[in-house]
Amino acid sequence: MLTYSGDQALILGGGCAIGRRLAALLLAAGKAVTVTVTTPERCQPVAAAILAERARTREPDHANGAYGLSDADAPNGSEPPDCPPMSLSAEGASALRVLPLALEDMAVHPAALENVLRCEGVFSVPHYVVDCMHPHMEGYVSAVEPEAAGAYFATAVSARHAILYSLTRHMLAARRSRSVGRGAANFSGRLLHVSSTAVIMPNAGQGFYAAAKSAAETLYRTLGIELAPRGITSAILRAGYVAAGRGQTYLAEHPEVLRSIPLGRAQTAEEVAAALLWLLSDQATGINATAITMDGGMTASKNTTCR
Amino acid sequence: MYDNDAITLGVCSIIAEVLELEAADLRPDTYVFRDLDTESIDLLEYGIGMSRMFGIRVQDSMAFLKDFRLHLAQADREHAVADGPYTTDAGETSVDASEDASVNAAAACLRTVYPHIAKARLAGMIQDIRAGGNTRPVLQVRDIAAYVRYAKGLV
Repeated sequence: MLTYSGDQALILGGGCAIGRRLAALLLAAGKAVTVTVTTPERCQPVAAAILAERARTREPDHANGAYGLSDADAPNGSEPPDCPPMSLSAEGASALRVLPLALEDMAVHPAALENVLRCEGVFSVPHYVVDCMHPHMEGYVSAVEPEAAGAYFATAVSARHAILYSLTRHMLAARRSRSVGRGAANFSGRLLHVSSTAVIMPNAGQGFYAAAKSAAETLYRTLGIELAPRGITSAILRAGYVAAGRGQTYLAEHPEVLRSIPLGRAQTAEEVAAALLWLLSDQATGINATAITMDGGMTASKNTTCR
Repeated sequence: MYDNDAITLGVCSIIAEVLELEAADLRPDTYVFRDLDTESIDLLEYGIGMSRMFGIRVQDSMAFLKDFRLHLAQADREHAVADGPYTTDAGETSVDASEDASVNAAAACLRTVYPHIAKARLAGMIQDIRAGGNTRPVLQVRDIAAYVRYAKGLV
């Protein structure tokens, strides 16, 4: 049976299908969930989509700690499906906050995260942080102007560090105020980064995205090394092709890429979210400062046309 | 003059909380590394505690003199190039006078990096390091308290 020592979660860039699904699972598990999205306009529709998904989510099966959808047609696209306006009485509504926070905000206003953490005047410091933020830039390494590349890295790498700097300091301080001792055995927090197999297998034009993801992975891995003695661990989930969001669009345009996956199909957002939920569990804490690949075997095979 | 002020006592309480010690056992001249079981990650928690208790943004490298020996080596290199051997007014070479001048010059240089530390205290740190008796950092509780006062604009 899986257990979860923390009770507050923060999903950064959680407006995507994976983030929404994970938020619904965490709400079903009784956690308070804060989700950040890129613009204020996305807050309400993303909140409504999460609550709708939460309503379709089974209660946890305490025999095996599993969570799942009660029907098979969960939303899977890049945008939240049409949902009725969020009802304050909806199940989980009081435990869910959806707020705007873009990496670009952090690049300009390093204190932007403070507004996210502040809940009704007091700091609400998460135990779980799941980083789904993916600022995107495509272009050949030899073609992108250095100034544009610099601006991209300032957002994708430096602004992410600004968030991690502030978050981890708050988590350490909260740990102190919770009177947790020095030992690593005391759970204080868990940091997950949703990365991409592009880190080890970039396509042409993905150099900057892959470089930024690689840098982000290194930040998370190092945090797991540095803070594990204080009970804060990290893990990275490298997803391959996911049939959601930009991945779904790409797969529609390039169905032949599925032949490079031994499993023969892309992952679903539900599968990735479930893997993240497992990585957040107390039992997965030993998976620290490392990356797990979830790509159906794609990057393990030399054969690019397995099927 | 600051030995028992609120800031020094506050710094003692932060360190004591992190290391699970009695704050009353800490003094301004307690060495943070030599006398206490401080690890690098503890400095992070000291800094966070200082931020919260005193409302300051803590620059760890300055507050905890993290690169002190690097800056001292740089100061020594600059002093050696700029001044050469020290000679008295009578034109004789003086080892003691040369050493004093070297310490003073290095302290003056380090003061530009650590403006919160008094020059006399910096000179004491330099002499401590040059004596070579203890390779652990020279940081004391009072040095951290001095940083807090500086960051709060009290000096």
